[in-house]
Amino acid sequence: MANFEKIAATPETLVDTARSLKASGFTFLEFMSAVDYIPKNKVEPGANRMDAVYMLWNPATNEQKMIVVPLPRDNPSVPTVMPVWEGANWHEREAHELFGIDIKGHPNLRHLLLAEGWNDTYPLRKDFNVDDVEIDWSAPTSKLAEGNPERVYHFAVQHPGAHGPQGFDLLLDGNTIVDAEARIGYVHRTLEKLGEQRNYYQNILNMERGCIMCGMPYIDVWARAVEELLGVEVPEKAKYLRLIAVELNRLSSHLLWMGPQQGGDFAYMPVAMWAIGDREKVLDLLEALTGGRITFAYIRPGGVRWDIPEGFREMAQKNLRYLESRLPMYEEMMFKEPIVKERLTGLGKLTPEEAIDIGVSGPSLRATGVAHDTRKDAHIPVYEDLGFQIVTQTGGDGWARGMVRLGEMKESIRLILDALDRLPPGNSEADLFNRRAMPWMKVPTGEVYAVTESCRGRLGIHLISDGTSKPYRTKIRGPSFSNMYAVEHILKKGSYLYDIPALIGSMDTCPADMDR
Amino acid sequence: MTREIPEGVNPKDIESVLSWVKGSSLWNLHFCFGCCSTEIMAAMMPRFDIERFGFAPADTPRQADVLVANGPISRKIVPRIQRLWAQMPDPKYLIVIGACPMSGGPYQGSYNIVTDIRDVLNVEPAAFIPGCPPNPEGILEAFIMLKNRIKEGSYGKL
Repeated sequence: MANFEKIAATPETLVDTARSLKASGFTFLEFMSAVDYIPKNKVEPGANRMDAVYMLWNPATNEQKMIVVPLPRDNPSVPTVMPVWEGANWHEREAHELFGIDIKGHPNLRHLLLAEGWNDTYPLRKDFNVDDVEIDWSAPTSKLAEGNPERVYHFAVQHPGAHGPQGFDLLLDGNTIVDAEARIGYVHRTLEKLGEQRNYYQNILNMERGCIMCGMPYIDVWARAVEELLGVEVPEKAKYLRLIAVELNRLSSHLLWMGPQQGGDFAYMPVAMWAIGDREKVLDLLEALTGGRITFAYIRPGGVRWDIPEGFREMAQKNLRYLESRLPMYEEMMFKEPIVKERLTGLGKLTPEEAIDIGVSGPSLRATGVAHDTRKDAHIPVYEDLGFQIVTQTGGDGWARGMVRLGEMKESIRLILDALDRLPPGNSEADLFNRRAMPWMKVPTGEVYAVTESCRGRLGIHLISDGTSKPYRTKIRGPSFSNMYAVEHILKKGSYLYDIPALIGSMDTCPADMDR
Repeated sequence: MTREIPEGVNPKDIESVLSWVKGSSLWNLHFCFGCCSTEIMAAMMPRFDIERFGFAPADTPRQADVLVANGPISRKIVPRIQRLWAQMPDPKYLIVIGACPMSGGPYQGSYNIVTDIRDVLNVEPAAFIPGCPPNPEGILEAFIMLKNRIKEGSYGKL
């Protein structure tokens, strides 16, 4: 039982099935991954196989379909679907290193998230033993470095322009990039495996650390996935409070993007400083509401932890009105300023077709003119009641992405203030189970895929429960994973070395989100 | 090379001047590899403004005095941290922000996380502020703690 349709395929029919599904409107590959069934599993007792799974999304109808390819556990192998969706590249590499699935025809099956010299042990297999791991530290850092060790320029790992441990190995001709290969995985905290080791309640803490700049959408989508399995309906008030919490987090994340991420890249310190100064006002609100500045544990299955505190409404109105009055100034300084505008225009241009093919989502997708926002597409509660409007631009470049985020900030402020005005009475939490017993709560067997719009794009959690108090499989679709692949794609098309920090900034990739 | 102290100069005075110099302008390596770097950034920016106490980020390890361990240490990043630490000139200090570098924090039990930075760098941290993440005030406290200890002369003698 699942909340999406499953389509069975074999390795031989996989590519044809994928082609026909793409032709029928399933143009967006959310992720490719696998599920490992060992004989003693409780989902399908006795099953001894590995399912390669491909989650597809039809943007026009908002349908989800999953291609399931059952494979033998001892020698799993599937052909690559890269000819159908280019964005499958990194997902297949991930499945190769974490599950040991051989991808036939894949151009580069080096380790992506794990250390380069990791031996043939596959961490997400159920019979994985951490003691078997051995790492050969002499392995080259990328395929490029393997072929041209003396010519490769390492834009990684410690680079002040890279916003964290993400980077590239580059082949350069002067300042022009000839070839690029991304290096990620330095903050791979194995949230998916930890998800299987922790119970549903502990996982709230793990999930919100999925992306530290916007953790609230992570716990929101986690809570909705668990609620769907439990069959719990959340009270109306909790839906509003969730929206307020998520949108406050989005505001703080977008201000962080505008400040140090994009403004800081240009050494444009006034914007960087002022945006962070204003972000503190949003963090004050989050602290008043949840008790935490960047980690919250506020949303949990069944509702939210507590109601809004006394005086929060007035405080929110004061701080958000102030922020609203500052936004025109930022627009003037950042997006209408001739030098910045010229720098951002044409930077990392993506066409709508390319973006969908790669799996780009979030502001970067909407900047290409595609009006898809998961908050509206997936009918996330109360967004439509509050008259949520999707912000789009048509340029597809750095400037358009910035303008989308600026528009989203305005929209978020409006949504929060409207939600506070229309906050319904009642409980902030479903009164269904004993809170003290929640750590031992058993969740019925089932499979579910929940999505939401995080600050960076389409965030999904594919959750399989085996009826115990811990999940059987947790797959996280981090939006930055595909967005970072788009950065590599853009760099390969021909770009300049000095474009990289600005480009990473404008795609707003989060290493924690892509490495999980 | 021998270092001779001129007549009439108290060696303790030289030491206290050196300590004052070392403690007054500490440059921390700009290397964000964890969640707590978000709060370190907040500590550097308006409202908390760490620079008024004499701290600023250095872009290269060769100009840095302080390595701030600010997040979970994955197996993949271990050799990079070791190399950065080796590239930093003496005297150098290690500050640990957040639970992860000392214990694994919320990622304990993960196959890819090294739970103790002391195993990686073979050095005792000068200051450790637990939390997940600690507030910017806590991060400020760590830096001021380090600064005071250096100035007192009880830490980081050449």
